[in-house]
Amino acid sequence: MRTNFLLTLLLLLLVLVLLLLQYVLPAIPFFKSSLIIAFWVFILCSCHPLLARSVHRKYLILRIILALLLAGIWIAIEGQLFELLLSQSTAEPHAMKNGFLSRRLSARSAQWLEFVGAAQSSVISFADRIASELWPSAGRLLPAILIALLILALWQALRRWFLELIPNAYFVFVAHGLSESGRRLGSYIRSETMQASLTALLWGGALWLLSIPNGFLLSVAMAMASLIPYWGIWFIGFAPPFLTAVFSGNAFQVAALAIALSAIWLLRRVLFAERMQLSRPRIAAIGSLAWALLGAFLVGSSGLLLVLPLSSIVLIIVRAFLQARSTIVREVDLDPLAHLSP
Amino acid sequence: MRPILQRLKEVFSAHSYEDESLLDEISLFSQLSRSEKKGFILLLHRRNFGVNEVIYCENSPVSAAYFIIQGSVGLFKAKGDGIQDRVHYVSQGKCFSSAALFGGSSSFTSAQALEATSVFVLLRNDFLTLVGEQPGTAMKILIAVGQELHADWAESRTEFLALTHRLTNANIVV
Repeated sequence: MRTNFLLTLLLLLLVLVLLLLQYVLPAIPFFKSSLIIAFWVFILCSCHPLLARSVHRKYLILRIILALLLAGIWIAIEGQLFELLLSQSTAEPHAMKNGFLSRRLSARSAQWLEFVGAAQSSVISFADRIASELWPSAGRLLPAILIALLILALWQALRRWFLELIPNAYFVFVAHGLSESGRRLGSYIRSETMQASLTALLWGGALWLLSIPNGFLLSVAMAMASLIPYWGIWFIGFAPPFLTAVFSGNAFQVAALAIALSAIWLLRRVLFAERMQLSRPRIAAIGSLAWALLGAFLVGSSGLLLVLPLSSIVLIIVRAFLQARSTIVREVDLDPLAHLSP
Repeated sequence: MRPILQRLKEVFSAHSYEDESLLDEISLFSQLSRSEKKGFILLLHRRNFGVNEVIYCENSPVSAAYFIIQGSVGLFKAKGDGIQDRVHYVSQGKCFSSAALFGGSSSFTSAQALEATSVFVLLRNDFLTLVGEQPGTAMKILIAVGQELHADWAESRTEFLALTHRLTNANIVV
């Protein structure tokens, strides 16, 4: 925790440096953009739970080295990408007469501006796709909500009816399993709803304050993505600062977004870490990523978002019944009537 | 019309008026108010056991307390050579396996229905929920069960002392 606060202070210092650099070196977008990306990668490496697990100082240094390494890779890739774009560009830059550097920068700006429009349309189409996959039509949504509400209203009665069908020998096991899974599921749903709501609310507010387009949509996506352990918040949280860094190059906006995301992430950890640790079923970090990618591969973007919460629910139920299993094994397998003499 | 409405009300509240009236017959719950009984009945499960049907085994984990609505139950303790002795007789309106309410881990005896028996089962998890949500009701139940346990202990102690006295009078040393 102390390291996280130290990192936040470091980040604030970096923001100041970046702002200073923006005014000192305003004419070199390549340098600026690369710095922004390096800054963002540093935040990512510093705040991600997998990389920021230990509070030992030597790991902090390793993280910084890793961040710089990743930033270097990005700068190299970005440079190559720019060269490729420049070679494919057919439009003659406006500032041909101003020499090689100006021409190069103008071409680059024109090229990036084209991509801004393309990216915006792709973000909107992505959002449309998510919406259409999750909610195919209002006609289906309404009965689904009604059925869910009816099941919720009848839950206790359904549980009792189901238990009445269970033979005496298995009753305690099934009742215990149902009760335990219900308790764990309730805890999981409450905890996830609270943290997702808070994350979405804060992220939506931050996006609105920073005038990021489609902020509401992105905050809803953030709420859904925050259900994915380890990686979820970064799937969506990464998009606005990244797109802003690449397309507009506004260092202040990027830094503010990055800080906002880090602050939200830290606040979420402080408020909900213990609760989530108790309520979420344990899934390995790499395993969770594999599950999410498998879901995306099989079902699409909704699979990416929903596969882990759904598998968590299944895991909770299975583990509750496995825990209750010891009760029934001992009650059914032993037969005290064999030598009974009342 | 009224039975249909009552049935619908039962369905949505997961609550049976028949069970609620049966709850009145168990003296342990006499201290509970009507509203407390309505809340408590939702946590109870009614089960029926046939003659000689085993309810739970000796050394099995204690996970539920049982309240007898009708019939009777014998508690048995295994001796050597696979022989089991009946150590306690639990009659209608009484409770057994109450260790579930006090955090007991495994049962010292097995339980078997001595006749066609109907019981209310209270799972330990559900009781813990009750403790969290309605501590007043839970406390009343604990006090009632504690009083019953104390009465049983006092009765056993009295019988034991009487037996010891008779043995002493008969000059029998155990």
